Amino acid sequence: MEKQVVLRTKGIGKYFYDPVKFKVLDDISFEAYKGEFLTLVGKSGSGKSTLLYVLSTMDTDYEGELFIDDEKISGQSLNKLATIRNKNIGFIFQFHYLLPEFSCLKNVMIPALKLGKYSHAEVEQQAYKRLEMLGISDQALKPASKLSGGQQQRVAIARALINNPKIIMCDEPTGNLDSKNTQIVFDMFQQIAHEFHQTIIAVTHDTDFAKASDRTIELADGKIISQDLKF
Amino acid sequence: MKGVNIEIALTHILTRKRQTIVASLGVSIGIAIYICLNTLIIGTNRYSDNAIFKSTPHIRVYKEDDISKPLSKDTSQKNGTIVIVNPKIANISKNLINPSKLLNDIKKQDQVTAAAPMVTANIFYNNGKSQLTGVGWGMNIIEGDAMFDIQSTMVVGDLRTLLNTPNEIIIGVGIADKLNIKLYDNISVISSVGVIKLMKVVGFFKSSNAVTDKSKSYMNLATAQQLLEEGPNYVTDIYVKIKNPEEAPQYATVLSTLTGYSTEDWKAANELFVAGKKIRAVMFLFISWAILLVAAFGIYNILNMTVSQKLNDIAILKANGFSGGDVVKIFVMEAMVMGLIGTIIGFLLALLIVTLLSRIYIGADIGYFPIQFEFSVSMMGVAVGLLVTFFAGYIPARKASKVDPVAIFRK
Repeated sequence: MEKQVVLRTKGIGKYFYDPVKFKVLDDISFEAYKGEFLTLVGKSGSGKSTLLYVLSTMDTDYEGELFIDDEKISGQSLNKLATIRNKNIGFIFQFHYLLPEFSCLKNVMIPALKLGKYSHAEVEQQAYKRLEMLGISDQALKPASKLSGGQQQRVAIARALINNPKIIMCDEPTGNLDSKNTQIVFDMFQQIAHEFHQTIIAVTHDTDFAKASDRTIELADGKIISQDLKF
Repeated sequence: MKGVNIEIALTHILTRKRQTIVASLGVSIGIAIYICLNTLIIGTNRYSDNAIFKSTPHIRVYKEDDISKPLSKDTSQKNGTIVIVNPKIANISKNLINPSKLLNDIKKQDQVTAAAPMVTANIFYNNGKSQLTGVGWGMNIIEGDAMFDIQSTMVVGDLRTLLNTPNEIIIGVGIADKLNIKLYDNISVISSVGVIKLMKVVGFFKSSNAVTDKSKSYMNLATAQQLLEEGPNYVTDIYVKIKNPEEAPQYATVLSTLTGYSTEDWKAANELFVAGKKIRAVMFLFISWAILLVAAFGIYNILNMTVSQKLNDIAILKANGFSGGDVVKIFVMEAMVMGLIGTIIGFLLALLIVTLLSRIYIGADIGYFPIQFEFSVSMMGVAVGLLVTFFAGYIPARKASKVDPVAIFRK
């Protein structure tokens, strides 16, 4: 099958200015393909998280160019970037970042309601489907703050998936989870990438997690030292 | 798309009912006091303006005293003699020349609602050996009533009896007290030029001013003219009533140009009163705004705290595609909901306070507390309340919209 490029970077560089000017990313160029489960690894301080946030479009202070789906992202207005994120990118973090006042279902629905493509009832149905897939539909109407850590992370994954984004970006998605929940999340990621053909870009320092992904990019001192790390 | 912003804002508010109520009540009290103070000031101003207009016309047209020139030259000869005179009030009649034409000219102005000729005479009231000085106002009593609402000040007697016969007089209750006069008693009146008239007292009036009650009397125009030994063409003042009393100072100059005589508007005649009114207005303005600002700070505070507590939520909303504008909308909406609840309660509270105040009996000629529901003031209060809460919400909302999600996620 022809590999379809979903995300592409060209010579991305970034500086930190505090406490002293320091180059965190240096000439990062790579491509991510449709349906690929990609992991970014590196020692702490290697710039892997920084790179992820540049890719996320939330960090706009960098040099070089970023393309998502062949659309140039660099230099777009903040509002345009918000719309692009809403449509194309789902996020999963180490912490779940669920809104505590809302039910799990509402938390999952919010990005879709923001997108405004489907009616409220349709969105609700889709959200239920996602929660079911993750095995937590029985918790749907509970407030997000009443769930266990593993359940909360699964709700967060459902939220990341609700708009069928092309790319799902993860920052240490299993960092707070026990081995059982890690396995659930990992299986989920496999399914997302290989059955739904969505791209996953995950930053991790968990070698087992990285080993099992399709491809691993290793960074050191802000540079890519391996585009396809073999363990 | 907009629905989800509202939903988030409302959920925030509903999950923090107590804070919302506290902030709203702050606004309620602010708005209630704002509306009450402004209603009160309008009420008292209206009352005191009316009191002023019972004795002062909007505009008075009169002949100003001329001061004799200190130097005058005999111009009939080439080297005329220069005469030096002490400057003093020239002994010229205060009569307005051709008053009926003047009156017609003034009445033709579309701003003018009423104009009446007037003769004021300095007189002494005598009853037996007691004597009082005072001023007799000679005028057509019906015109005078239209201008000063004399009827409302009458204690006994009827104004109209004055129309029937000459030599009748209506005096202040103070004069009646001092000279021990009862209704239909006769009183002898002596003018400054020595004319003595025996007049029948057909009524007493009581104004809000004790000094006026002890000196003023109303009589026919002709009677006053006779007291001054003048004919029917003698008129010292023309009193003018205009549509909008607030424009009296500007309109007085118009009338002055029109008639060629001096004019005095009621504001110039009551400078102290006008100054007092201004001071009151400024004072109340300060108080009402200060209270509103305190209420606004309540909302600002609570929203600011909310924003600080919800940095994570804001970050994830932004990550999920909410723009800075959406975040501003969410938090401004929260402020506006608090402001709206507060403003509505404040409006009702003000309505209650004004109603209660208006039922307080003060007595004297004021009667009930001079306050009534003022629609425009209340609407102004509502508008000001919403405006203030908008800004109180906008500042923290703007802060929220500037939250950098990356900085939050990377913590």
